[in-house]
Amino acid sequence: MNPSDKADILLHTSGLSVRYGRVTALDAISFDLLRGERVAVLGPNGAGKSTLFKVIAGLILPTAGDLRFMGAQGSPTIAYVPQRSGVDWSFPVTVFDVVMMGRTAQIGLFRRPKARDREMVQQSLAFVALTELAGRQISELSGGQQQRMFIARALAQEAQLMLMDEPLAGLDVPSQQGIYEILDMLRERQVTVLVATHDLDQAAEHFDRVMLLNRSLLGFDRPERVFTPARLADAYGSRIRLVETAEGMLVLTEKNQGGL
Amino acid sequence: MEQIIEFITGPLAYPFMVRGLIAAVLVGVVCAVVGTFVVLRGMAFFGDALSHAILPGLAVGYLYGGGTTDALFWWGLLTAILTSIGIGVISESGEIKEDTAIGIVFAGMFALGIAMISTVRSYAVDLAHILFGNVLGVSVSGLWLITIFGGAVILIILLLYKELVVISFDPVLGATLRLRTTLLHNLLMILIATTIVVSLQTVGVALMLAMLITPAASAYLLTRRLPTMMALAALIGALSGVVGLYLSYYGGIASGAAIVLVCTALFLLAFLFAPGRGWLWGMSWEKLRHAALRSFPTASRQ
Repeated sequence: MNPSDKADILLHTSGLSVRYGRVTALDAISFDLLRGERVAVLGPNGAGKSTLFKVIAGLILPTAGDLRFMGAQGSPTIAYVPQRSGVDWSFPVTVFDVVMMGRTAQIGLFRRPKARDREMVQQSLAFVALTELAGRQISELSGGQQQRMFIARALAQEAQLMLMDEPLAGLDVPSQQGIYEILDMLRERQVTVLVATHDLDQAAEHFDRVMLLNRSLLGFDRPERVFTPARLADAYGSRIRLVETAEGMLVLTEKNQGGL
Repeated sequence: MEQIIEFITGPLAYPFMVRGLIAAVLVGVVCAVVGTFVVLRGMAFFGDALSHAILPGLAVGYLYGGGTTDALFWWGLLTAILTSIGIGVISESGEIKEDTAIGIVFAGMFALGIAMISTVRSYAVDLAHILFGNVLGVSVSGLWLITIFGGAVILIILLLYKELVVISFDPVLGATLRLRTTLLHNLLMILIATTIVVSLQTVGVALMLAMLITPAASAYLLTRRLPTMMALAALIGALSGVVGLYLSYYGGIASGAAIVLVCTALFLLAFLFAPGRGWLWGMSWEKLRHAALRSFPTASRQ
């Protein structure tokens, strides 16, 4: 993938800054996001990952700088996939209901879902292999299934850009594998996926590019180019330990999570 | 058989009883439908605060509006809407947490209302009617107000149902879908305010919260589908109104208290016996016997 290929750029930002009062959450971030690529966003807690997602999703406005979506249709449809810990799982809705929520904008005010909306929901459920569980109340799903349900909702939204906050946190290895298989299929559909994560190992293995963030942008490139001892020390400071072993470098990080 | 029919039709000979029953059913349904969102969004404290905070408005309606149903209604509605906006402004300023903001406004307004009413000589009786309701005193024009405004509340909820569900379940989704989330949230607060004022004469300020949350909470225990929950809550609310009024008629109990007690009894039934979720569900006779033996150790020795 070549970042200079203008036709493939989905999002262009330059000098993007967000300040909350006197606190700077993001400091002059500039990057291009390509159509269909999968990017891991890494950084310690408070590095501005959540803020970056909020700015991209349009939930908050940048204090300074420019954020522009490229392409003919203007602003793409953006889906935000929430962290599982932030969801009220006892809410009395079924899997089908939640995925249908993604259609709310397309259905329109004062209207009820039409055949096309139901079809989109069914297709999205089939895409993440949840057709059988469509009628279940959402607390009856496993962690992996819950995460897949939200991906289905993003698909029903017809999202071209998905922002996922710690989608793999607390999932077992087979469930994580299932999510990655779905992400591979999303790439074929040219859906751009931005994933906030704490897992350097997963980021190196499964993503096209890695964005290393600590208020300012410390690196945005292929994993092997970003994960250098100097850059990691820059991002994490004392919160990371780099240990040289016979088989290579060992990285020890704090095990913790942030959220929107 | 004749006795049963007499038992049911007897009170209907009094027009005030018929008006009271109609009012109780309407209020039961409107409160339950709005209450479903109150329960799901965890806004119980807001509902309780708002119903108490309209007291000064009622006092103005009482002291300067001659105490007619219309005067109480409009002054109550005005105060309720101003209060919900006030709470919104204070909590959005970010200086104070929302529940603290609610508490300050609620207690301050309630005190102001009591201070105003206490200047009148018939203080105790007047205050009691406002605090605990007087459903048997509902006038025909009062019924029309309940029907029109209650109907409008339900109509708006049905029209904006899917949007209200989205902002209740996942506000961030609402924002990314470009829904007017702040507008919808404020609208919901105004709907709650209207519902409270509409229901005022039935159960009064002090017991209002029960009509909003208890039927909805019972329904929540009985189903896992939102439309079903809403319909069940409405049914439970209406039933509580009717049974409560008969209880009040034959038992000589204050009508508002009787209605709320029926609501509470129905909730206890749901809590104990709800299929799959009730407290007694999954309790085998063996477990129950052990529990009983633990509670009354002396019984086992006899």
